[in-house]
Amino acid sequence: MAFTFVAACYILALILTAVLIFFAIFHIIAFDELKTDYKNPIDQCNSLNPLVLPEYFIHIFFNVLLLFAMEFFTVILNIPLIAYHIRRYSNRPVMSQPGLYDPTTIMNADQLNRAMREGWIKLAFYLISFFYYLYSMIYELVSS
Amino acid sequence: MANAQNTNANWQNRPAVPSLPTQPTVGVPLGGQRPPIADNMQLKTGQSVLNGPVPISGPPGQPLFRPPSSVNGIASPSVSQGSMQMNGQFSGIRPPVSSGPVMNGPNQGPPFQGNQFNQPRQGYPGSSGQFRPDGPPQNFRPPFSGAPPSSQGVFRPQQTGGPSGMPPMQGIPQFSTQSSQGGVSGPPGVTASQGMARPPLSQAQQTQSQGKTIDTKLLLADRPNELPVPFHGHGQYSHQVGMALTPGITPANSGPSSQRSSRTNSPAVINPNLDALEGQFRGTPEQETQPPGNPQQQWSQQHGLPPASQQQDMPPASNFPGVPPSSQQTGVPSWQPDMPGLPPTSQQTGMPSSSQQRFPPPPANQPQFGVPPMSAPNQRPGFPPPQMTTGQQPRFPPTSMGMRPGFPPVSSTSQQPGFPPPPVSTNQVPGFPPTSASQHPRFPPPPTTANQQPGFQPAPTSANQQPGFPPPPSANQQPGFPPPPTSANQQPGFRPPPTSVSQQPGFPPPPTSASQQPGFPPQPSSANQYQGFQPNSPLGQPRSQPYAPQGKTIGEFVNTYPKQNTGLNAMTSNFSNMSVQGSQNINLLQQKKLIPPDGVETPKPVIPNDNRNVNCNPEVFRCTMNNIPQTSALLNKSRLPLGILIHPFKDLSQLPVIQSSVIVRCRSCRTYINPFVYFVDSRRWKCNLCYRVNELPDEFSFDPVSKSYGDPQRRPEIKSATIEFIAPSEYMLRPPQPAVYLYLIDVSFNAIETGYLTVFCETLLDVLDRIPGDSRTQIGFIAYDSSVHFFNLAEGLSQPQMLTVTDVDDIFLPSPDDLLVNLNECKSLVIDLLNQLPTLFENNMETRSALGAALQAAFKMTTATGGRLTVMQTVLPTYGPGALQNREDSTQKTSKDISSLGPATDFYKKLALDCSAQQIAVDLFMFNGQYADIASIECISKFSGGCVSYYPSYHAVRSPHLAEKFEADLRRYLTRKVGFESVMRIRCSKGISIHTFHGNFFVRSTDLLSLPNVNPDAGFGMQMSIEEPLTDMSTMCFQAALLYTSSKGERRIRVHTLCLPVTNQISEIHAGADQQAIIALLAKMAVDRSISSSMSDAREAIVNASIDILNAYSSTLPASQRVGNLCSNDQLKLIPLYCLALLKSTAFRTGISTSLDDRTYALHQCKSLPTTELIRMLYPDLYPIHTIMDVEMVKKGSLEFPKLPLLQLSSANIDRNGAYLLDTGDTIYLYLGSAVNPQFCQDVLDRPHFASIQEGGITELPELENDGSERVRSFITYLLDGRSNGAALVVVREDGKLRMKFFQHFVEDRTESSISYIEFLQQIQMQIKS
Repeated sequence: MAFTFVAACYILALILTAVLIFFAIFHIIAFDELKTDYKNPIDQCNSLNPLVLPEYFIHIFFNVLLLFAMEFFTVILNIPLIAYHIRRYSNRPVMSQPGLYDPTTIMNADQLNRAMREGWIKLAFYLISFFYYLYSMIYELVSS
Repeated sequence: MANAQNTNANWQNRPAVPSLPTQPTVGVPLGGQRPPIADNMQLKTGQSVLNGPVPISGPPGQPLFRPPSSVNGIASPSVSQGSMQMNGQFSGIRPPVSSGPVMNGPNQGPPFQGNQFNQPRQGYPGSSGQFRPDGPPQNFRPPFSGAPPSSQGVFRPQQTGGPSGMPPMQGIPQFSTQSSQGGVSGPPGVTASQGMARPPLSQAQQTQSQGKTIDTKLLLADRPNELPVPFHGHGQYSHQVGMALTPGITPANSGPSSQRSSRTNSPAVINPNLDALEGQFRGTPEQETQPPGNPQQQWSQQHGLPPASQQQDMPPASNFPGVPPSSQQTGVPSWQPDMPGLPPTSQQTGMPSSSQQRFPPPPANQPQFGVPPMSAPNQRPGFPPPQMTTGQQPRFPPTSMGMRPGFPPVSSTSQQPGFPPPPVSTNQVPGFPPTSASQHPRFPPPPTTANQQPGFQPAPTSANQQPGFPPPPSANQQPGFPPPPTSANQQPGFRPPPTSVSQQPGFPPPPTSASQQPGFPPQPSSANQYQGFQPNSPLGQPRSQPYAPQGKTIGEFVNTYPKQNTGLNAMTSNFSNMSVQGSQNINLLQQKKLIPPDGVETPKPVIPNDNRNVNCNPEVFRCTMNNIPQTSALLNKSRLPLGILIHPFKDLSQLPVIQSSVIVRCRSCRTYINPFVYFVDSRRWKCNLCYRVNELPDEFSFDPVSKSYGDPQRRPEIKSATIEFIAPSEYMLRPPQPAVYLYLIDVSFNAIETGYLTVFCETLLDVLDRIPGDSRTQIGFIAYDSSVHFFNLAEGLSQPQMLTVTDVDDIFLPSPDDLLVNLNECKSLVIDLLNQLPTLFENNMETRSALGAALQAAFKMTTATGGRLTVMQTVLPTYGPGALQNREDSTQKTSKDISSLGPATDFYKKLALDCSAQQIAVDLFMFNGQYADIASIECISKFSGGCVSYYPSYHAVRSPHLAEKFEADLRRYLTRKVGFESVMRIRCSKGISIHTFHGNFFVRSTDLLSLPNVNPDAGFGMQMSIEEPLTDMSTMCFQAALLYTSSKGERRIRVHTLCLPVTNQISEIHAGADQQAIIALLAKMAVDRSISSSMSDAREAIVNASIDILNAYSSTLPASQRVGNLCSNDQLKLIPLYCLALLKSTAFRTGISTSLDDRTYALHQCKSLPTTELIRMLYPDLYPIHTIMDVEMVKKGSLEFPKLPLLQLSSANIDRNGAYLLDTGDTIYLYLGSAVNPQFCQDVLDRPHFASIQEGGITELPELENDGSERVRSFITYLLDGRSNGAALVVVREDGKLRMKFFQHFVEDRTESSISYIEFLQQIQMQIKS
């Protein structure tokens, strides 16, 4: 029972993942509101776009920490998502501000569905990884 | 803010102003004053009258005229004022109208007249609220509907009269105004004018008024952009008006009217309605009694005249007495006797409908056939032909037979030429004489017909046939009639099994038989039949052929297009469209004649069990499939794209306009009531989109006369799929904005060099008085180069002041209040400025352009009101905000992958979104010769609902044809109708949802488009997806509702409803495909693909689409038919051709050097052009103009033109003896073969022979006094008629430099970089096999 760097990383990852879960939920809600006409896409995009990069950075940040902690398996689990994020952001529409969502195209069903699906998948991924980090943290604390 | 305040002030002041714009009109409709609005109204009315079914004849005519005025009133507040006159009269008569005060109440609609607007404004919460697009969807409750029943009971009668607004259209407004204003007499000036009209209302007076109206009509007639006048109803409405006038009516109404007024929101409207209703009722009985002959005329006479006299005489008291105590309406009873036949329903609707129904409307078609309307019964398949008519019927199997009589000759004919496969045509032929009835007095049923007909029935497309029914309107509509005649054919049970082809026993020729083969002219057999019928057909017996090169070409035509005449007729009549042939198989590899000489017909959906033929005009609203697949799996199986194409603000010649206090909408989905709803009973209706059962407001169907609930089917809402409402204040979140126009003029060195500025200023000066707007219209100008120049046009200045701001990075307005000025008050300054502008910047050497800064300044100027910005740009903006760089890579011009199709910056997009939020639209005119990055700049228009025009390398002197075109376009642009602060909502039946939007707008929510401006030339497309299986539905509907503010400051809602049958048979899907719509949608999808992915992807997608579609079709056929063939049916046969045209179009072509701007603009056009224009752009129309002396002249409206056959775009059709006209939409090429007949050159071009003709030297045909010249010019006039843009005329010599430009449109030819049509087909066939 020792509080190692690895355990600390997992604790941090745990907390940050919880934050990411909230991000994902927020996205889902936002897109659902768009789908059901409650919000103006301009407002919605303005509120979502600033959150995109922070989400990516948070995710990358604790993965870098885990990398330093030599938790390669965990990092490998996360690499696909990181790659997806990078690819997604590099293909974003022309925008002068950070963000992914273009209010002029977001209302097209394929874009909206894609964003919704992405939100749900990310939510599931973060939830699973949340419990995985929890398990890993406890395992780390107990085993060492 | 200053602006806003000003506007408010204006509003408030208005009422006080002695001569309200509207009022003057009313008061002195005829007078010289004619405020613009009034003019419009009158015009409309005038037009309507003219267009209207009712002949404007004789004294009875009065009513007619009147109605128009009333119509106007309904349509626009100004009209209502006009009604004021009437009111004045009445007011004297019936003081009792208590409603006045009530109506004025805050909640109620604004009183009708000019006040209307004022009040709303004041009452308005102010502009603070967000703008709600489609009316207050959820909050909105029809005022009445909510009312407790008891209270309603009391008022109903009155309300119903006025209420639903049906009446408002006509006379209603007049009455309403009275009631609403009640004791309030019009402004003094108005009264005076009224006094004239009012007093006796004697016939003489009325006639005078009529006369005046007419005059105004004539004067105004040339106004291009009018608000849609309610035409339809004209005849009807006019009647109503007359009725309203009728004294007898008034008394009866008077009592109730007051009550109504209290209830209804907009009292003015209501009252008129009541009056109108009552009048109608009375009138109707009379009509009924009268012989069916000319219902309208009768009406007019009866109602209009008598009422007037009565009114005067009748003291209010007398009115009341007449009314039995129990029912307020009682007063009417005296009239009632006449009415017995009439159904009690709504006045307006009832009137028109009744008239039609009762009396077999004298539609032109029917008379021709000689079949009286009665024939309708015959049409019903199931029913044995009742009586009459021609002996033919008995012979025919009931179904087919029935249809024939009903058929408008036109439709059938039109199809015939197009169909290569003879069998079908033959069927049609016998039934319908292709040409006019006169030619074929009888349909001698050709012997073959009987055999053929059997074939008919089985054909899956039977449904399609229905459209062809021009169900004589009256017959179909008649309530009393047993099931609509046409329905039988359409009914599901009847539907032919999917593979009709095999089934057709009667047909001798198998589908791919020789007859279809390319070389064949339309089958001889059919042709023979026709000829037999049409002994006179001009084609068959060409008269003199002066220009005809030699026998050859002409001969071809004669043989090939024996039925041109019929085609023409078909074209002229709207009815037709049925494609009986849907089931025919066509082997594309052998089918050379694909384009029918009369043009490709548009299939119309056939709705089972509905013979009213009320579906939306396909030019306005069409779907890629006329039979909607039940499930998305079935949709995928057909491989056809599902989507709708809509041209919502198209200029219409007939549009019913309704002013009503209650607009009936579904409570849950807010759908507007439409012809396709189901009436559960007389009090409830079932929404056809969400299937909720709604209460029908009493006003909608209540008949005040009989105090019973009438047939709601008579309402115009139920009778027309396209309708316009004048929206009550619930549909505004702020007072309607004035028309605001701001012009941004590029005055950099390059701009001056092109010389566009002179043309612009001259044109604007010329049409300054015709710019749509009212007394509030504002105008402003900004000139910009590297700095921004504002023009102070404040009233009181002796000449315009120019204020220059050089700090473009932080733009500000030097004089916020005086830059945008009232056009009427400052007109002299505006004229001064326009005269000075071209010289003001004559020596400007500044080459940079600060477009971004100018746009920002313009945004600031108009942000308070919204409006329209017009930008003239000639160079790449390289300075200040929004500066762009040259992205064009000259090496890419011919390469396969083109980059930089998307915007380089989001500056313009963001600005456009800001504009959109403030109801500002930006229209762009580009004149650049060098690259100007249209891809980036166009975003400013794309997302603000604007339009883009591009004149590549414009130069006023060096490119005269472009200069011509620009001037024509600009003229149209400046004077066309504008809808401000508009939104469009698309509603679909449950289970279908919108997938993707195409066009210029901002999508604000899943079904709502924000259109700061809507213009009549904008088309939109939406891809649809089937979310849930449409089981248990036999039909599904789309409804597009466009809410806008007219240039007169009225809030209007234009509603289009399209109803389509649902099917689970793939064969029916294929038979109902609309190939032009499919291609238009494919083009839009490909544009998206090219921008989001790459051009090569887009091209590949286009090819794959046509492969998939044909593959899906052939997979439904038995193997024996598809081996070795490339099968298609008549509804899909053009898909490969159009796809190839798409691949070779400027937008998607590769291999040919295409500048990035040209391509970007073409891509933009694909997205925003209406379908017909897009198709013309892709596959231009080619006419053999040297045969112009040999073809028949056809009349369309007032225009008489020669009917030339269409040729396919293959060089094989070009003969060196000939002269050809190629109409690409933007340009009309006149191609002269080297051996063209010198007589033609002399006659048409005023040049002795071919050698003396210079390319490009002629931009306009000389007006020569000879038959040839007149015909050619009338033909070109016909081509340009009703088109949104001008077209440049370019003369091309066979050996000239422009030859390549001409031949690059020849889609079927092979070029160095592209394959021919046949090769393309072979490629498709290979893919299908593999």
